[in-house]
Amino acid sequence: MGALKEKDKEKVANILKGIEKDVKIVMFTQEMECPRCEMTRLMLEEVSGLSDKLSLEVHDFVAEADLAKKYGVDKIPATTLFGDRDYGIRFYGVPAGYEFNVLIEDIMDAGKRNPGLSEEVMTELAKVDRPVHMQVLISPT
Amino acid sequence: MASDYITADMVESSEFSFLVVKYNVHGVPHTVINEEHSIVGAQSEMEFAHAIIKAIGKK
Repeated sequence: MGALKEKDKEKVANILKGIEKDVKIVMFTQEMECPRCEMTRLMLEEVSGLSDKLSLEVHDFVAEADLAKKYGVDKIPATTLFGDRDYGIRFYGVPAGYEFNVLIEDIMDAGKRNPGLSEEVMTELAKVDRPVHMQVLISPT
Repeated sequence: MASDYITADMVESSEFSFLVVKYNVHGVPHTVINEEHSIVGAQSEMEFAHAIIKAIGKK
């Protein structure tokens, strides 16, 4: 059985048809995969197979520690999204349940190269001139 | 995505319970900005933007 249900796959494929520009998903797992790492990888393999604008790169958190450090990835499973550059988006843990919707929305935004925030919010965020690390702790749904 | 300075992590709290302890999380969503500023609950985009600006010590 796949990570996604057949009817969900169809729905997701339909949404992903609207991706404007290429998006790369970069995932970190490790050789001896934790169960949730494997779950995440299988899910991302299926999702990335649903659109030719989506690609998936899987890296080893241990063997490629330098790359993980470069991306600021400090735990696994980690899922990151790249458009024309690193967008600073990180999912830690399986992006399942409600987070799956967030992942798909983020992929669509990355494809648009636009986070979809209001002009006022963008003006406010333009003031940021030093690194900001936000961590949103959520619970599984 | 809106700023190259900002990294935003979505953290599944049940998988990384050490962070729940570290940040003293009692309810979700719980947002931590630069390790020391916390926002509990869902907020508007503007409220998050203000919280970020405040966290870096700007007006």
